[in-house]
Amino acid sequence: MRGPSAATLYGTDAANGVVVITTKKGVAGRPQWTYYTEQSAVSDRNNYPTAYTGWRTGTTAATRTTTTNALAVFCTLSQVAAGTCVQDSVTSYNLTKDPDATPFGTAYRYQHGLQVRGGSDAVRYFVHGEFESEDGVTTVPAFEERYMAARALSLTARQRNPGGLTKITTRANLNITLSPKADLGISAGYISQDLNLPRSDDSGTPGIAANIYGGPGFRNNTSAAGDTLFGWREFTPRDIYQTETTQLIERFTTSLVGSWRPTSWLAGRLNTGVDFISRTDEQICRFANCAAIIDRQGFKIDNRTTFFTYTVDAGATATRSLSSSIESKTAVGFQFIRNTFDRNGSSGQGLPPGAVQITAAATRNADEASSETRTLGAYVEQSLAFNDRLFLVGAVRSDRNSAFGANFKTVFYPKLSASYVISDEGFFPDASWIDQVRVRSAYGASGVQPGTTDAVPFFSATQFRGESGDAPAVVYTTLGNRNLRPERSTEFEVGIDGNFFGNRVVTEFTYYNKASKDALVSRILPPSLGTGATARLENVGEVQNRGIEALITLQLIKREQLGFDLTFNGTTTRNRLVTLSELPNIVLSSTQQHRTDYPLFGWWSRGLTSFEDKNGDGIIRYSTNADLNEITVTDTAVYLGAPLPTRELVVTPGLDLFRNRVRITAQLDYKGGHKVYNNTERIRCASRNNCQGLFDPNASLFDQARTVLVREHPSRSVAGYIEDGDFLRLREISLTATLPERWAAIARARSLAVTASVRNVGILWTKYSGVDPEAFGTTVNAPSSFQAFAPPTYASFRFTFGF
Amino acid sequence: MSVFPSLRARSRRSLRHRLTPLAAALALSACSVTEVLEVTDPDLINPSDVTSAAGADAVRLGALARFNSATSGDESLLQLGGLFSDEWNNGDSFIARQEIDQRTITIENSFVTAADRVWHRARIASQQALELLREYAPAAPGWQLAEMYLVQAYLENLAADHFCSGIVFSSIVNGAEVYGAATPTADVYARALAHADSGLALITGTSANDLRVRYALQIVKGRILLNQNNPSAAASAVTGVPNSFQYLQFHSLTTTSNTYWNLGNIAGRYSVSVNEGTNGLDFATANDPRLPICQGNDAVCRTIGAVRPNRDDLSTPFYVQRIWPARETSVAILVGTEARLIEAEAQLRANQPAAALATLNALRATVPGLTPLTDAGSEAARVSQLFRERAFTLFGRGTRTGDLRRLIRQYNRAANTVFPTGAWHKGGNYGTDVNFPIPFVERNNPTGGAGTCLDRNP
Repeated sequence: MRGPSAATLYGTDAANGVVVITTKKGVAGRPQWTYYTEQSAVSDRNNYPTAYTGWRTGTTAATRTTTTNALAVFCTLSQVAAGTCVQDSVTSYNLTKDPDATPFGTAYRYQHGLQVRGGSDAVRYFVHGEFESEDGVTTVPAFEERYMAARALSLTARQRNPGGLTKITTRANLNITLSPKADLGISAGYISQDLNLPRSDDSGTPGIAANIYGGPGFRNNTSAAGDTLFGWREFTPRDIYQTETTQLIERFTTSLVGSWRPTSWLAGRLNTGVDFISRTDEQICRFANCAAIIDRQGFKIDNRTTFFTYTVDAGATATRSLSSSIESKTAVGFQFIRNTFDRNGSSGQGLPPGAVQITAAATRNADEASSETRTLGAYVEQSLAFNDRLFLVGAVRSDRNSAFGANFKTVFYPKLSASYVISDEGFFPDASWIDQVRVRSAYGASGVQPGTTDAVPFFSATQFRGESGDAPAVVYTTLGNRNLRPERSTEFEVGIDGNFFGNRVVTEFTYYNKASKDALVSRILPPSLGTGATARLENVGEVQNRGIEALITLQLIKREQLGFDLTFNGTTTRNRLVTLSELPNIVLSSTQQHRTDYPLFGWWSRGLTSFEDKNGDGIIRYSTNADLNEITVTDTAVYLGAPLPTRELVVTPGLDLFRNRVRITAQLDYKGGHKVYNNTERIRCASRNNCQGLFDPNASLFDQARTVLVREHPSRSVAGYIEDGDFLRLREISLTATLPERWAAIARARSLAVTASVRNVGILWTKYSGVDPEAFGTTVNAPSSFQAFAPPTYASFRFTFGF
Repeated sequence: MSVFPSLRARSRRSLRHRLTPLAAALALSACSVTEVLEVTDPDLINPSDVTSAAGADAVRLGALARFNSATSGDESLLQLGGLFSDEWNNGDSFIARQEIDQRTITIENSFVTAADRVWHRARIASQQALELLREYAPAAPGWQLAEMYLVQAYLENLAADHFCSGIVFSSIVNGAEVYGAATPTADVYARALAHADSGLALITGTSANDLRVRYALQIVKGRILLNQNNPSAAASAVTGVPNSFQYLQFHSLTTTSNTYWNLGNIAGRYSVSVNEGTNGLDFATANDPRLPICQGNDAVCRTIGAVRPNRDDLSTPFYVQRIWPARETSVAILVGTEARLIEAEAQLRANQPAAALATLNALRATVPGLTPLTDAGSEAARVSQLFRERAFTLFGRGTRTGDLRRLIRQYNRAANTVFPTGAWHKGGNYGTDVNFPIPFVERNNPTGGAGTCLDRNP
């Protein structure tokens, strides 16, 4: 549910749309059991970058070619161009493709689930339970096994499998018919999850990713102690895996749903619910474990957080026929939502041998944090239906939130919409291939609320260390903003839906235009103000989003033994910062800015406009001498592209065989029109000294140019690494077969279905040179791949038995 | 100036009550909307909470905590200035640090921006503390208020030593921001001097704290006067400061770690340099007892836990300083020996080279292992000798960049004979920066001209 309709029903929280999840309910009748099991093999099939090293020729012991990781023996293309060394060879190595050195293996995942539903007309039930277990794809490389075996070293079972997931999910729904006029629904759910994570992305230099991406272009690099590192940069899994990171989640949800229909035209509802989450995040390095020097003294971090969400939703709907051709529906409702967050954190440094508790640490720290938000909203909605073909809806919602500034009270969101089944009118052309055509339009307002403390000026506690020890102290943190109010968006949409050829062709087409005024923009505060916070949320400016959404479903073949359908779902999006009022452009970082007439969080940097191998030596160089310089860079930051996709297309083909007993589907996903910052390649070229553009004469001139730009040009611009992010990905392919009943009977079941699927199949095409244009190490507003791993591939078989 | 506007009173709850959804519905019907939506955030300390003597003292300690971060408790102008000059070599992969080391600093440099924020926070915090102490703790000892002036004078002088002309001083009045304009460097030094004098005027006692703050203010005043090219006044300002004096910043695991230890000895992101860029001093190889050094993971370094053999970027050599060998090692950001150096410079400028030499040798005599200096022979050589003494005595304490700039503007040296120059150790050449640009984010200040340098003069 999106747009004005979502905002009317759900208020300020729903400005970006609402996903409504409906869980299974019981059905009157004998108990029906369903058991399913899914067995999967998980593997990392991504292509990780290759490391390169260029070797110099020399006559001294310090410069001769040798297999060592001392930088003095390297020779870069820039050095060749400058004549400071001669390159006699270039080596390359990719440890992820070396069975001896790779940390990636094939993992196992399984899932078992059991459901039962049934009941009577008065009471219906549905109960579900599921257990899931998954190993991570990271394993101990073969060279590490040999190393540890030779020295009688070992890792614990937990450390040998640093990634993994165990999850239990249960749910029960009970629906009670109290009377012909009243129903009661009770539901409860419980999830228990235990997630282990390896120290993977750039968790500082001791992480897996930093050491895979940062290794040299040869296999036999050595540590200071003389151990062969097999291409790992500095630390290897026997140390890295000793960092144990765990997240434990216990989640309980419950709701009470009541409906009452005192008359034929009046219905009321009351929903209440609680969502409780208890989360524990732990990380531990035992004494003499782990990679980094400080870590080997032992530490533990233990953060415990609880989240509560309380919801009360009540409403009534009156439905009347105003005439033979006009139906009226009037709805009123209100909601109260309360969110609380409480965290207690502790850490300990300096663990004695054998200790795993913070209490045992030599130095202990503790902290806590809390926050709460409350939202109160009410709405009135009037719907009119004319001859069951013209539908008009008008509504208004009011919201108040505890996060609004002290000078702001209530926000109102109106909505108007119309839907017209124009094909039912006499004037519409009568064609047998047209089943139904509906035109629709909507106008409405919604909003985004500020954060809990964005409006409030406050101090924060800190500690001062004096000669006599620590003392509590207070520091000024933020100015606050008494005038802070929600961002207000008004959206207009118009669309047309059609069903054709006996519903074998279904189309939906929508154009939307959403303007957000009083946009909540994090305005960077100048350092001279001396506040603790570096930014403050303000209502400035206007943001516009507009685009097109289209859905086409084609049932191309519909026979008893064969069916083929194809679904296209595409969108285009144009995001623009229309104005910042009187504020100057907002510089977020050296690569991102908010500028009028450009997308929010746009990529901006001094651009590489051209490069040319002037002297024909196959090497691109930078020189302060204009005659020798071979790269051209803009003098100021220029716009490079949008941070998020501006066009998306999902294609879902489906093939039905054998009277719909077998269905084969796939999902192809295209996204494009945006840029992704390949920060991984940037650090490889700028600092890790192992990228192709730095050493290899066969590297493309562009690769050389962007390397020279970031390493040698005074701007140190990373513009060359802000790349096109377009891609076409095969997300999933699956085959589901409903087996004959007689086969199911062998297992004493009434039905049996088998599904074989592969998820995250792979990237079919992309302009992006990094590992995966969707694998980010940073937030979605700054999609940047910084030494991040891409998602693995799941190959699964699932058996579903009905009893 | 007040940061404490009147606030709507917040209700206080003595109990945390968890309303059931049904109870919430009932409560809603009985309570006003305002009451229902009112929340208390225990994480926050409201401005009204510090309007008392105890609150004023807490803010004062907070200002000192900020001061700690603006000096040796975080990556501040002390470390960045040393990286920019010839004290440290960069040893990691961060482009922003490499820019500073290479003297090609862009206006978006994140580390310079962070260091700029850190010192302004301490400055504003000390202003707030002064206001609160005057209003709610009139009986507070004079040295406590004087120490707040010390924070301002020290940091304003430090900023002027490192940034270009155009530093901005904004403030907060009655909870609202008041933006400042770009200030010429000369005015910044004048402002710092005024604050130093204000602090000195408040100290009337002779308690340990009175002396601690007074000596510190004297040294800061001496620095400022040197920067204003008034060495004789500088020497007068530091008269009576004992050699043994130290103004210390303290560190611990629970507050701030010693940044030299953290980023250098342990992380390998800073390495003590040797003759950096031709003009640099031989800090790491001079065997000067004022700057004890070891090489990563050698026998001596292992005794202080510096066991990584290379820098973070795996390059070598990795030179580790041993002045501050541990996380908890306190840092003397101001030392009494600097007073003697100021006096020696004044003597040299007064054409008293013998007196200056005697002053320097008297100072060296207090350090075991140092032999007396001999006359350098020429005025230029004596100046170089003096500044070398300053460099080794005050290593890492944020004076080196200012000294190199003074060599240019007061002693008529060329920039490329003073700052590191020529081939940079990671490729390419050193740039021509002689100071830090004002960070680009200052341009979010609506005052015209804020966020740009008035000039880039030394």
